[in-house]
Amino acid sequence: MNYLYLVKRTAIALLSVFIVASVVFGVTTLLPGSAANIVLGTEATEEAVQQVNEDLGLDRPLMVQYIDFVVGVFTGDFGESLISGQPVMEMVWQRLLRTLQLAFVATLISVVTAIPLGILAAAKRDTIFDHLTTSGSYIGLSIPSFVSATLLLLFLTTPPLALFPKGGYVSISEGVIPWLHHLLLPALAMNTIILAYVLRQTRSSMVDTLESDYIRTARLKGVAERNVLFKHGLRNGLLPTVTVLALNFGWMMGSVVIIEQIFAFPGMGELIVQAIDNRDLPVIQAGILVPTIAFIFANFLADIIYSMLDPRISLGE
Amino acid sequence: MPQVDTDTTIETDRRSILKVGATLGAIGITGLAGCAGLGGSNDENTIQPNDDVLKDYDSLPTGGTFNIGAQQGIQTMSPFQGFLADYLVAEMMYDRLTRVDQNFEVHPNLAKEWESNDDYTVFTFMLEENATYSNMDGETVTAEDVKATYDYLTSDDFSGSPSSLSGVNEIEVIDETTVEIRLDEPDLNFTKRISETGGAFFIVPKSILDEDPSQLEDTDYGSGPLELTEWNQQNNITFTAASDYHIEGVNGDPLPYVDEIEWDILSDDIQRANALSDGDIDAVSRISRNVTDRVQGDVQLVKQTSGLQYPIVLNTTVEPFDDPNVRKAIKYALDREEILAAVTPDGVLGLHAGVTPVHTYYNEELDTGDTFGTTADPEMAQEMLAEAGYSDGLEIQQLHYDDGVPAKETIAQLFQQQMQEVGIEFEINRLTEETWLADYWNQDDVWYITNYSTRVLGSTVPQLALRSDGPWNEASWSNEAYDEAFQRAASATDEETKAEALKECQKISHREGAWVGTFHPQIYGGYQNHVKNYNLYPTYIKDFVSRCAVDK
Amino acid sequence: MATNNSTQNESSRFEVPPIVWKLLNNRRIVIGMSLLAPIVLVAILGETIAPYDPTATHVADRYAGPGGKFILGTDHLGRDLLSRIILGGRTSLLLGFGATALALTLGVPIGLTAGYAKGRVDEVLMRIMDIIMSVPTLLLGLLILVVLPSNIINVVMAIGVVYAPRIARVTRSATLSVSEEEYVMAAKARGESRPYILFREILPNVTGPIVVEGSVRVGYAIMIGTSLSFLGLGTGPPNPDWGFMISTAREHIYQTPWFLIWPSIALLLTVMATNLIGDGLRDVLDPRETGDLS
Repeated sequence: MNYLYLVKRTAIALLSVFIVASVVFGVTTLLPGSAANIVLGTEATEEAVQQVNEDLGLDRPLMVQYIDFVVGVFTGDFGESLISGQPVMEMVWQRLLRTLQLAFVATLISVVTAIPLGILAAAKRDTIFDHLTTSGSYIGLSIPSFVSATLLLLFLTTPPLALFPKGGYVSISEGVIPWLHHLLLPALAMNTIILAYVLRQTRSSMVDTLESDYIRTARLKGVAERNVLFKHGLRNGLLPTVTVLALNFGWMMGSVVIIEQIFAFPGMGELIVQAIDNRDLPVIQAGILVPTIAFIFANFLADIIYSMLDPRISLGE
Repeated sequence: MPQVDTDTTIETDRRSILKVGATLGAIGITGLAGCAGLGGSNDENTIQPNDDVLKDYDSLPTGGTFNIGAQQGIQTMSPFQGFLADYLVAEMMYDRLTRVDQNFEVHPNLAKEWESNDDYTVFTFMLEENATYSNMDGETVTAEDVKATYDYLTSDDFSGSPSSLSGVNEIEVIDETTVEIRLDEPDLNFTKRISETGGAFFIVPKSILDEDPSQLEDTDYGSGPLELTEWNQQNNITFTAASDYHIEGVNGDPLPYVDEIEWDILSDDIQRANALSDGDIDAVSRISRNVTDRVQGDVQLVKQTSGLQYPIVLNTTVEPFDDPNVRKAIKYALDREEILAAVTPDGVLGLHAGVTPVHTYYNEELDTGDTFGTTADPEMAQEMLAEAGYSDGLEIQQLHYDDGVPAKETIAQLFQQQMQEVGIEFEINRLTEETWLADYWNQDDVWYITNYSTRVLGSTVPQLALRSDGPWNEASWSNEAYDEAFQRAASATDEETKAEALKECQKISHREGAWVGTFHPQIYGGYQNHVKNYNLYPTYIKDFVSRCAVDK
Repeated sequence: MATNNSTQNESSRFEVPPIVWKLLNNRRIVIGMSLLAPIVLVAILGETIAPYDPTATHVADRYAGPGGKFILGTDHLGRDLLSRIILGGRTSLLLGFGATALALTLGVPIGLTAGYAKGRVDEVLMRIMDIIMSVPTLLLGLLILVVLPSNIINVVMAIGVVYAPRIARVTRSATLSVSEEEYVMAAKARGESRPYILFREILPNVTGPIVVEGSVRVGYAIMIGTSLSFLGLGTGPPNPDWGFMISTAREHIYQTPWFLIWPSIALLLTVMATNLIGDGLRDVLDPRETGDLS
């Protein structure tokens, strides 16, 4: 494992966080309207708005606010909600954990279904099975998550097929089955596109790998077909999938905004939507930055795993 | 977004196309022959008028937790700040001097009795001796607290302007439990006015106000029937029964009947309907008509006439709304029946006057005659436009509406279409509620659809919004005859004079005003059948919640 | 005799570049085009073929099912669904193509510059692109649209900016491999200006991957655009818009499921068509894996 590579990657990740934080700060200070009106209600006067702005520290020079903000991002302190005064990190943390559970289940579903399907499709290239899965994945790729969410909600939560609850969240401490029961549909809805994509990606990179010289050599050497597939083929064939899963994590962080709305799932997405409605600046900032940081981290992790699996990478760039 | 990558070609023969069809079928799209297949409409859950299902109870079950679903969370614990939604919390935790029930009748609360002089300018309130505050070591409510609260609400430190206390000249502490309030002008309905929805006259301990009023923002210092014990921002709020509340229930014991009330914040209407059906919550404080069809299970749905109004404000600072003929043209071209049909089948139509059909002083005689009617009269509209000089049509600047009330979107779209029919053209523009309140509400040069909740007094909206000097005169409309009639009503010392004067106000506003009423919706609520004593008030007041009992 | 005729015929016949045949022979492009072409045509014709004014309300006929006066039924305000879908399609397609065009306009020059200049310039530019790409797409769009007013121009702009980095990356990769070719070296030796080299020598030879990426982006731009308007950040009522229609339709499912179904199908078919075309184009223009997965 090349340590220089690791250090370089870490530095880049941190720099990215810094720049994104700065951009988010810049953009959100442009927000029209103010939280003061929410706090004061319809009976707000000019002076009152001034006062509230002062109390909330919104009248300090921009530079001061900026430095405060960036330092806060790195220490995990996003300030307090303009509306409730609650520390933002507290609000975000709990919800983030729930959203991560959702992302985890979604990823699990795609790993467990799409990858084997993709491998099989590659192995049985050009058969009916292959064509079926391919056409299916086209449709999956073309259905936006809010459409699949709404349809799933419509068909699987109302009679005659009321197999799932209509939304909400149950902590895993109350049992794995109820926990999963509530997570399954939103995870699936979030997943239709990812499933399709992972399937196709796996299939195509497996096809490439299976036809590559590397595999031909293994076959010529007389290695058993099963071993060819699993030991040699999988390792290389799955490499791109690692990157893909990381990319998809980023995509999931975005699509939760819609999915959680539809399924009444109390996660990050719901928080962001409410914060935007309320012009709750610190929460909006955290809502955008935290998933982004998570994504940057996921990419970082994927890079490291990739370099561990493929020795060619870490030796240079 | 993930990229698509290489793959082998797929066959274009009939087989592949059939596969696509099969997949679509599998998703069940072909199975949607009718609504019945969706398992939605439940005929058993018909919506009953609230008053029809009310019962008189000799006794009610005690104990248990009452889970109720709300649309919005609260932004602050302070009873003096925030939106109307926050009164949901204030009424659990705090008390006013009086309380008003669903028939707009006044009852004692912190004031156990009161008297006034003959011309209704001096009111003396005798307070309960043992109304205890939460988190105050057993301190009880005194006249000093009432005065301190009043002083705070009218001071510079408080940024709002509590309309329920306007016209109060002085508050004097007579003794520990007696307080005297003197008014500038007679007010027959003062005891109702101090409990007006939107009025913030909740009594708060003097010591807290003297020390630091901002403590109210995160601690419950109220004397109300419940005490706030847990606040999970945007998720749920838990209240526990206060010990020894000063008002008794039917059992002869202090309210509330339940041990705990938990408000679950479910902002999406559909979510709330689902939660009620599933039994995740015991009741909802409010539910939209759109989703009542999906409520199933052992649930009673109720409806109540309300004075909720969504008037279109023809701001006279916007040309050409300063021309009364243009305003009349709009009123003629307006088809309120169509709007009603589109939004809610059970609502009622009122007047363009701010006073609604649920109020006692509502002017019923105006419903007939030359009052613009309830459907469109395009000929009269064109005539009025011609008189104003716009026989070729008229272009107006954007109409704004906010997304805080879903009905406004429907009103805006239908209104736009209806006006188009007579040649009045304008775009519509949607704002967030917050932007509307911050940048457009009560400003010059913009017009929009506003909203007022049901007030306890019919005269409140005119007082706020239709008088020339009204603090919320959104249309900047000024009419001498109206002001004169309103003044007569305000200073009346007997019911008949007051009623007659207010009815004249309504006539003037309806004909000449810049306030275009649309409709008054029914409001809807619902509860599981094991909930007892649920009583949906037409006003925004939700203290009926603290009077519910659960039989679990 | 026969030979003479055929020679004469051959010389006067218009030479179709072989690429066109390849494109037309690709199954995916054919299916994709046969889906997309009518959609585009209908969107262009818009009001002329829409049976009703899409914003005209007929409250008495609200929630009508398909068949009868309104071919696909009506929505909660009695507006004709077919007309609204046709005009909504126009918005979605404008969004998809407009945003992609903007992404290309921004991304291609950046990619060309980075790929040609290499070294520091390349690193800096690509890092910036990476950073933009590290924000989840929908969140970035949300951020931009929360600050700007919601109209179609801003939505196009937001999505264009969000997708420009991907275009830049693809362009850069292709430029990297082309920049060592002989004709580029020759142009450099001749002393041609950099813009000339980039746009006249390199660009024509990297169109393959760019076209492929662009065509794939169209589908995703439409999806993101509809997602944003689902959240209420699009053009706003009463203008017809698929995303917003689907969002509103959820509340009225029990009154009529068709309000939800038709825009969903329309969206599905449109995106599927663009995906198919994109894949087909890739088969023909850029069959090898570029190796760059972002």
